Amino acid sequence: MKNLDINPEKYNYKVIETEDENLLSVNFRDGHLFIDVMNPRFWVIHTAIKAEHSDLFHSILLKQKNMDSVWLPIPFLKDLVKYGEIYGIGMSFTELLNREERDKLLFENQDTLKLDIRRLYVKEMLQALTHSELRMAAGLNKISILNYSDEDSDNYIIDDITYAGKITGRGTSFSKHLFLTHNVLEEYENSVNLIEDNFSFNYDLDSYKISGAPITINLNRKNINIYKLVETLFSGKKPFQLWGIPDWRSENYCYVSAVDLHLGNFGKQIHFEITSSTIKVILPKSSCGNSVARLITNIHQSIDATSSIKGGKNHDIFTI
Amino acid sequence: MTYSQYNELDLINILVCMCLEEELDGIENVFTKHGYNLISIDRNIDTSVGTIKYDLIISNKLKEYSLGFELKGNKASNLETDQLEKYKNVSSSELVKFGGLNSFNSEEHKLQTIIGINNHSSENVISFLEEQNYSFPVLAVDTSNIQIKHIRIIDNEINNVFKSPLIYKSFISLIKYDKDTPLENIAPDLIAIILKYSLEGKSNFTVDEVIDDLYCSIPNVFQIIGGDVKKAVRRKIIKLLDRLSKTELSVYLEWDSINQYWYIHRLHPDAHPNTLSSFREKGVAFVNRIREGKAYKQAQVNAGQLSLFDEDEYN
Repeated sequence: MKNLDINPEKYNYKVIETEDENLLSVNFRDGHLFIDVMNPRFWVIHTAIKAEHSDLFHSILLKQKNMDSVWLPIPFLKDLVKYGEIYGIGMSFTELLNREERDKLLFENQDTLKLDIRRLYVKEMLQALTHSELRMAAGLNKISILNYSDEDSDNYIIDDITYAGKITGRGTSFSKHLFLTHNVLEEYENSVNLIEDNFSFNYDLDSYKISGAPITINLNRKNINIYKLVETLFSGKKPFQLWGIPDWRSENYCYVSAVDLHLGNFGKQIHFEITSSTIKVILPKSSCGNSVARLITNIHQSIDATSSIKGGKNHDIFTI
Repeated sequence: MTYSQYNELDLINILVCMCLEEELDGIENVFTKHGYNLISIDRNIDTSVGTIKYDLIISNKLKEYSLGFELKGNKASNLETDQLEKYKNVSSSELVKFGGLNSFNSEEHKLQTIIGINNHSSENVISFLEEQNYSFPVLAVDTSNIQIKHIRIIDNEINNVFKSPLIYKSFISLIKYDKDTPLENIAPDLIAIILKYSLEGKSNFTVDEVIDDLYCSIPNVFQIIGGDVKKAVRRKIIKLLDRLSKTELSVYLEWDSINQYWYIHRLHPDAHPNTLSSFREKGVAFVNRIREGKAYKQAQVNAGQLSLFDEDEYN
């Protein structure tokens, strides 16, 4: 943390070690954060400072090489309801495929859909969107989980969990908040490890075995223009930050060997086979599974909120 | 992905998919299920009957069987009798000793040659084999099934799998290139690898480094690929690099003939996103141009027009 590229004067930034070697205390601007680094790969930042400060700190951290946020796809967010009851949802969708020239000039990065619902009619809205033409754009970006029981009504928490892994707790029980945070992290880590252990390819020269399997993303959106899809995914620009030149084998099919420009997997290659309804991801060994999480989350938020992801023949990924 | 007529590389990829530890959705990993592993692709083996080169060899150590595939894509019109003669006369124990086949006992080991072809050529090929008196099974590959014809496979379990025939829906192309791959199919990958090197902080690279990284999506597979394929791909990469450095990507690539390196200019880990976009734009232009067979035309610039890189403006 001390070696991070953060201007100490500008941000009033200071790292203080605590008695617990896995817990760091950080001064940032006017506030204070605690960083739990017990898991060397997945850090947890705890703070009560204003969101504008914690969000800024988070965004600065993400500009460091080899740093990435978690990316929680829609099935993962939906499954978090097992830790309480659904209290609210947030949705957003930025249409990237059907953009006209004037959209690029006038409406850069505008959300096509933005919705926030708390308490009332959450289930009804989810139900309505599931059966509507809009379901393709129903990009769940946040879920609120209420952990409450009548027997222990003084101790409750409402946790808002966003697709970028920000968990905002409101209530009286920090331990319930920690419980959910810990489980989100554990489930996410399991998903990323599943990808890296089971689906990344390698040929073992001693055993002659070829391990790995492609990860398949099925797009349910109708009438996708494959050329626009490929340009959107592999231009190197946000949100996908995958740089690649398509190798067209037919008008409906191409390969792309993409270079990942995202700092968390910078310069690594990932291979793709693309049709207008499927994206097959071929991960070489030592690839970062987080890149797959990022890919599917961004597809949910900007191309097709109903797309599904499976590893190999039929393994669910990112379901809890 | 399915095609009406497979080339040799497609046939290799279908067989490789049947050797994966994890079964794919579209095709069963029958060879893995029956204890076979992938040993080599297009590798030369020097024997007493001459140099043998199967397109693909798989081995089952416990059963002491190997299957050597001679694959012919498209119309399979180029089966060579001198090659088939070698397959007929070579001893399996020699192939174990010199070919790296997976075996406990070379004297007990048996390798069977199988001819793999598109199904629509199977009649002609079987007639040819019968006329020439070759007892090789024919693995006939269709867009939806794979079937054994003519002669049984020595491994009964494998024979039963393909006698049925084996139904499949799709496969994936893990081996990306062979000696017949056109330049426009190699170029996108090559350009991406140049970017990858630059983002890793490399300012130069050799052709051999590129081949190892380019050949296959699976790490380490290039170690079991034969030298002839590597040489053929190497020649294509050299040709591409030469063309790239003289056309659309001329400002990014430079050949150092003394040190035998290719130098990368303007691209590095801190390059501006616009630089990476521009590099991509030019890479796409190159690929599209060679696909269409068009000549390179340097962008017309008015006399006296300065570029960002003209120092005079700042002196």
